[in-house]
Amino acid sequence: MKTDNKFSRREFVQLSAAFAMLAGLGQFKSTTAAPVQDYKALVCLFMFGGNDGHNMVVPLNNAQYGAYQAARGGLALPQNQLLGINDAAQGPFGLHYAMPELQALYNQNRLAILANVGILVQPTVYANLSNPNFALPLNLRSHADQVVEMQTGFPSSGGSTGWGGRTLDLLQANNVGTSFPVSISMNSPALFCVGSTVQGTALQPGNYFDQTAMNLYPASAGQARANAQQQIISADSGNSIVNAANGAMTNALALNPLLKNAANAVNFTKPFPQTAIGTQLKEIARLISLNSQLSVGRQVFFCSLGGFDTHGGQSYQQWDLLQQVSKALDAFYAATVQLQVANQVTAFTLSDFGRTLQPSGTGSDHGWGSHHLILGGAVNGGRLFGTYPLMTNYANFNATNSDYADNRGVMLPNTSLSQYGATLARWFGTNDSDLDSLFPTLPNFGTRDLGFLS
Amino acid sequence: MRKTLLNTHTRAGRPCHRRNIVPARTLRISLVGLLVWIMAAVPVFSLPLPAVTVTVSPTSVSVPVSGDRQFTAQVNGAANTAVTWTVNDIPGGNVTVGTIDSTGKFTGSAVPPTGWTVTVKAVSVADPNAFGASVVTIRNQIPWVTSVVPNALPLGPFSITVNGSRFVSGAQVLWNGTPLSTNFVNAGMLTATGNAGQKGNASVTVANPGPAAVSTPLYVNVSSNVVVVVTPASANLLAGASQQYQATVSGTANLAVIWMVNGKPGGDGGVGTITGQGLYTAPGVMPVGNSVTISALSAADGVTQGTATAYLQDPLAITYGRFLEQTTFGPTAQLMAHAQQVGMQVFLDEQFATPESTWPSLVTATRSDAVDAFYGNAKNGQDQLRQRTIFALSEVIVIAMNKNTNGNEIVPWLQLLSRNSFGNYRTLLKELTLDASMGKYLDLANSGVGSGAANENYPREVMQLFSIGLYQLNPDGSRQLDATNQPIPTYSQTDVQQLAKALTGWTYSSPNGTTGLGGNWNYFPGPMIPVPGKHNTSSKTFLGQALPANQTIQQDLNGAIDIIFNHPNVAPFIATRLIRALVTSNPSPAYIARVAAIFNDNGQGVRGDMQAVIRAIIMDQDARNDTPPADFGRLRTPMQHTIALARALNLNVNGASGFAYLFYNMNEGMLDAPSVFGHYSPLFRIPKSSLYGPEFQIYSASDAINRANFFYSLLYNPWPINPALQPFVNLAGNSTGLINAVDNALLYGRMSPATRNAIAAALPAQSDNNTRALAALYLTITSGEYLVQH
Repeated sequence: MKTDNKFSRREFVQLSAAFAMLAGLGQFKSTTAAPVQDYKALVCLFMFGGNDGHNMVVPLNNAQYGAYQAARGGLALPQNQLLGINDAAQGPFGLHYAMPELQALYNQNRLAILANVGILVQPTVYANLSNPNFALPLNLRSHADQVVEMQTGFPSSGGSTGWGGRTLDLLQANNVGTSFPVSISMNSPALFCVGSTVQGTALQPGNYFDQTAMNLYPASAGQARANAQQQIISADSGNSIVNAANGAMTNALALNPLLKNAANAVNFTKPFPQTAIGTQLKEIARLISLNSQLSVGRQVFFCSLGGFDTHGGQSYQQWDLLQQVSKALDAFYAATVQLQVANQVTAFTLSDFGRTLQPSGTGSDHGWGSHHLILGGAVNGGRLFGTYPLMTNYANFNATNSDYADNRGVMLPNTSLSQYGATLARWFGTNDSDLDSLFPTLPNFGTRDLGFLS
Repeated sequence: MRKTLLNTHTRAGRPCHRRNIVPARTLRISLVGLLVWIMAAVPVFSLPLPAVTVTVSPTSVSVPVSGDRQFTAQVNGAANTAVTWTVNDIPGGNVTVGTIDSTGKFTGSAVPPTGWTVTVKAVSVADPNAFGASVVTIRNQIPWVTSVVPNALPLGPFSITVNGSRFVSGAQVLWNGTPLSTNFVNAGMLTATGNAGQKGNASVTVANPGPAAVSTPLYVNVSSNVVVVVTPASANLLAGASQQYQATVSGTANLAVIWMVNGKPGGDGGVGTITGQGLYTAPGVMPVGNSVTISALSAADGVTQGTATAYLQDPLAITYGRFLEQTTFGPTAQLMAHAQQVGMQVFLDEQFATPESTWPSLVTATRSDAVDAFYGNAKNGQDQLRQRTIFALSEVIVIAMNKNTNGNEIVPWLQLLSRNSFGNYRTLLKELTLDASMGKYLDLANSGVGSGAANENYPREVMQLFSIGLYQLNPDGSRQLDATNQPIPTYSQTDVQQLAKALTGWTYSSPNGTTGLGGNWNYFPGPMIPVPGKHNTSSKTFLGQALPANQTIQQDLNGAIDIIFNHPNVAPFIATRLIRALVTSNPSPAYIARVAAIFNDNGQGVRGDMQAVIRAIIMDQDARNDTPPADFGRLRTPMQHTIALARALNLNVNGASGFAYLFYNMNEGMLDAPSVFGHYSPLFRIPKSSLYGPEFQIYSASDAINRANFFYSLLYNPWPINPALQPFVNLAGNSTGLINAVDNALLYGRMSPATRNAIAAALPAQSDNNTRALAALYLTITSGEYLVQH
């Protein structure tokens, strides 16, 4: 096949050699691939801007709610509007009233909450914060850095790989049978998906990579253009930047036939909402539906929703965003049930950071720890993992009660992102011995498996 | 007469013109007419008719040596019809001229007579003055060739033996009709030498001396094992530049070649010269067609040659094309001519002096107004360098319509960037801090005015993104490291909080320019104003410097801006950002250091002089190196790419608000970056590479397709092709002409040979000139060569 040669000549595009095999989708169609029994997918939903976790999960215990209300002032959600859920150990809580679908999934034991998790170098208490020699993550509260650190899993701004991509690096043996992208972000590239050897791929829902210019009469004219384009973008120009630009088009040409197929894969009985996040999760469900056909063993997906940086106007803004998240995740979970992969797909949230408990005007400022959601058939749902900080501690935070980092109510995480990620990665199939290289700070923490997955 | 006329006409030297201008049939008719006219004009001479006439038949004939031929004579006008036969006036002839008997039977001589002809006459006996004559050609016998040895030859010099019969001394062997140097051995054998210049069958014939004595041919097969390959097969060369070519000769032990340019050994000044060792030097002035053929002719066979094509480029076009890529939204033909005429420094002077393009009203601007102005000024403004600088700054100092939702909420920022592009960076920072657009976008407006803490959003970003960045930098932009090799943060959370306090107490202005104690609601026509009593007057310390207690809000503002602006990071930080936005994603540390030094001091002791900084960026040796290193260049953003294309091809792509939605699909929503970090991170690295490529963050596979489809729509709308592309359609009948035109318009003549060849191969399959032009343009504008300014 002609295309094979073109690919094999390209040295700068680090597509795996197997990529060349996907020149024709016919190969995949003609092969009756046995379903991959151990297929698993991790789906990261990133809430860009820093979700105010204090208002996503609120304590309903009267003393705690009272302290919450006092601290949050105008941001406090009315107690009677919160959607009640219960944790056997930590008591009653309420989900934001924008999230009835997730309340239901919690009560069906499909959704778990991980309380007060954040980026840490090591277990940290309040007294450590004033010690200049105590290692803390770099540039806390800065969007740019925290977005990077949450995705790289490194408590520094450095790093060019994400922990989703690195996890796939460790599990390449599960994906030897496929040349389809295994690390996919929706819309734009995400550091989370980039591995050392596994390449992150950005896909836009509904875009199957057809070029208008190649669709003309006669077909031979279009083919001649396509051949020429393949030749042009395969040539080594002698300039690395030029080559890289051609590399993006090379990727697109290889994905074109595969995506077309995904579009026709399945109709979902529970409709996805027509929101940005709904559209992304629907596309992810479509791609998941192809897993057996494409012999994919492990896949990582990244989708996102922006607008959580609620310095002002938070009440409406966060309601609007959380209701989108709740409806989209609900449809997504239903889709995985329909596809009979609910136990093999775990969705979870990340965000830049939490926010200050104390409001600033009609909003709140950048914080640190926050609460996150884990959804899927393999989740030990209906439980709240980690330790929810006591609101009553906010008024008199100190060295012995280290729930808060400052007088503005920035939560001091008591669970590390590395523990959160390691628990997901272990479920995904990563060996325990590999977890330390995946998350270099993991050895600093006692618990390596938080237990929210089985 | 007619022949003479033709010859005369031909000698007039314009046979081609004649063919082109006068159809052949017309010419023939006119010549015949002329002949008739001439004949009619010539007087008729009357001669006295002899009483007796003699006619000999045949009147001319060819007879082989010793051959015979019967002649007859017809006598009129006399009763006595007897004749006397002579040869060369010798009655009965003789052995030298041939003999003729009384019946008119002629027998040729055994040896051809001098001049190959004799005259046979029949003289009337009745009237010895009356005779008839016939010219007899005595020819050699036609030779017979039975074999040629060898009957297969390589190209090049050869000698052969020709066997047969009836060869006579002086016989010649003919090679495809051309005489060879021939040696007569005997009547049955000839030897000959020659040079086989062409592969395939060559005819061998033998011609005995004299007329009409050529054998029927035998054929000899000529072949060659010699192969000559010339590398590089194609290359782009600047005028006057040199390129070493290699000739690889195989199939012969003789590896020598003769180098030629356009078929001329050694070339010449017009097409460039080539040494005996294959070193080609392009001419100083472009030859027509801009390409030459380099060939190496095998000395072994003198025939086989390998060829290569050199595409000659106009160095000025490349020099100024690159310059204008960096200083404008893309060269136009007019701008190229103008810049070449005035030179780079004067061009920069002119641009610094060009008045600002106009911006929409601060009061009534809509979102569409803002987008149309941002794009429209960039595409059509005369202040191209300012527009390009605004564009660069807009990715460093970001405001987005996803928060500042109305047009009038974003125009102040555009005006601020425009006004300060060629000013001083300190002024820019100070105006930015009080800018109402920014006051909304990063929440400084009313910070400390209501309840709650001072807002930290702007105070953080003004340091992190707009001035000093996260880490202590060396003057060359590299990070300073501490004792454990870790980067050193520039500021801490405490610094952010302290600066936030220093910047408390500002609110939006109002129609009457005043405010109450509660501050004002959104108001964008003017900069922010102080709210009495709402400024935090405690002392503040940030970035290691103190603002004393009880300063006025203006004193704290000026002090804070001074502390930030004078931080040593600002020069390398801003220099790096601007170099990345204007010139290259991976500037060398030395380049950054040179620009940073100008930021620190423009030469007159002024810090932050933007004109000096821009001039330093553009005129730097790294920017002006027209043969830059392999990591040089930056990917064009969709908006930049669109405008460059429209300007180069004269496309009427205006009214950006009408198609702005498409830019969201290319991850560059106009005036609408997803966050304060802009559309792409300045630190984004090209996937799987150590190279920076910020714009690659919005050029994934899907972006590549979306961009390509968008550009194609610009080319074919209105269907079937944008009328601005007619010049390309007109050229599309000729592949080379079309490709040259596309190359010159978009790539300044430096299209790579690979791209050229690929496009040329695609053109024949296109059904008409429209689709040919579209194919050539599309394949070029979606190629990395065009996507990347380099």
